[in-house]
Amino acid sequence: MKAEQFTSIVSHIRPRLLALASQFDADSAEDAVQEALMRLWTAWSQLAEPADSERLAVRLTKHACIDAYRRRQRQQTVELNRVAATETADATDEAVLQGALERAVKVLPPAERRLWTMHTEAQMNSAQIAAATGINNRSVSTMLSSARHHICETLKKGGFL
Amino acid sequence: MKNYLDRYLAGEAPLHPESLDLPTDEELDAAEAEFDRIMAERESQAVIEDKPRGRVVRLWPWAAAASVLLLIGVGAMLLTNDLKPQEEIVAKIQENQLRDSVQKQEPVPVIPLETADTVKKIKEKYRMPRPPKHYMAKAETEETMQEPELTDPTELAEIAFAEEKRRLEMEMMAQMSGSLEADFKAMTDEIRSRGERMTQHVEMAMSNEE
Repeated sequence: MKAEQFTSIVSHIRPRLLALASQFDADSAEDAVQEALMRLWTAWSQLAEPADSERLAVRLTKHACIDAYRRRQRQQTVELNRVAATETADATDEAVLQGALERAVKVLPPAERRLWTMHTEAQMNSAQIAAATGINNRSVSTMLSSARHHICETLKKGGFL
Repeated sequence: MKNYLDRYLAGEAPLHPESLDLPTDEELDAAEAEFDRIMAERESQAVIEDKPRGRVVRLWPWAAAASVLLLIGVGAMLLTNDLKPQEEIVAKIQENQLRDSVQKQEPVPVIPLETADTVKKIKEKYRMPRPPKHYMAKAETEETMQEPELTDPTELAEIAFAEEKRRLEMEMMAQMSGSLEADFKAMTDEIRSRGERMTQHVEMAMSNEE
């Protein structure tokens, strides 16, 4: 399917996905929908019909909900493992920078973090992010530049810039 | 390192590209099944939690009926308690009425109004001044002018005839006075015309002399 169709289809199905995720867990619904739509975007070029995209989006949302649910259940152990991993993985400068970037993204405000992740991880443009989040296109650009600014500030404080 | 950072900030170098890999169909099916199972569990739990509520709701009519009955019972008790004092009051009233009737039979000394203390006091306090003489005289004449009440039919007939006679006389007088007035007016008109003619003659004579 064409990339241009993504915006219209996602705008149409997003409320349904959000309702589904909210039914499961209202707190992590936005994150689950974001994750599902990011994955949908990566698979977009392989999809043939809009109905397929809708079906896949629902399944991905359910998967994201279950993923978040499982993560919450083993949250503490995962956190401990992650800290140990970052401490041991100090082989290269790039790895150190990656760790710093992860931490900088983590401390971003939730809405900014979602948009930034869509931008950097899924490489979605402003219009696609706007369709996936329901936020105004212009506001998306503003929030992305704000997130970039915050990350740079955090890196400066950490001595990386 | 700087290059990597620039690419990251430009959105060209994801930190975890593997996180966006699509899950396999098996993983998706398993997640979907788990999702549905958890939702079904929650729904069943919600139904179980709602059951006592349902019972409570079903108990409401009974509770309402019991409370109404209780209210009726309490009301009836209060009414019976209220009746006792009423009976006492009725008995007292009857007793008082009996006492009053007995007292009425006994002669009660009647003090004359003039000698009563209160009347005396009022009289002393509010002594009315005597009205002036001319007022009294007028009142007396008015009293005398008032005709005595007559009951005899012959007297009434006489009075009626006299009144009729007086009325006829008055009418005749009025007619006469009307004719006299007309005569007087004619006379004055004649005198006035004669005077005018005399003045004309005088004026003509005076003009001829000149």
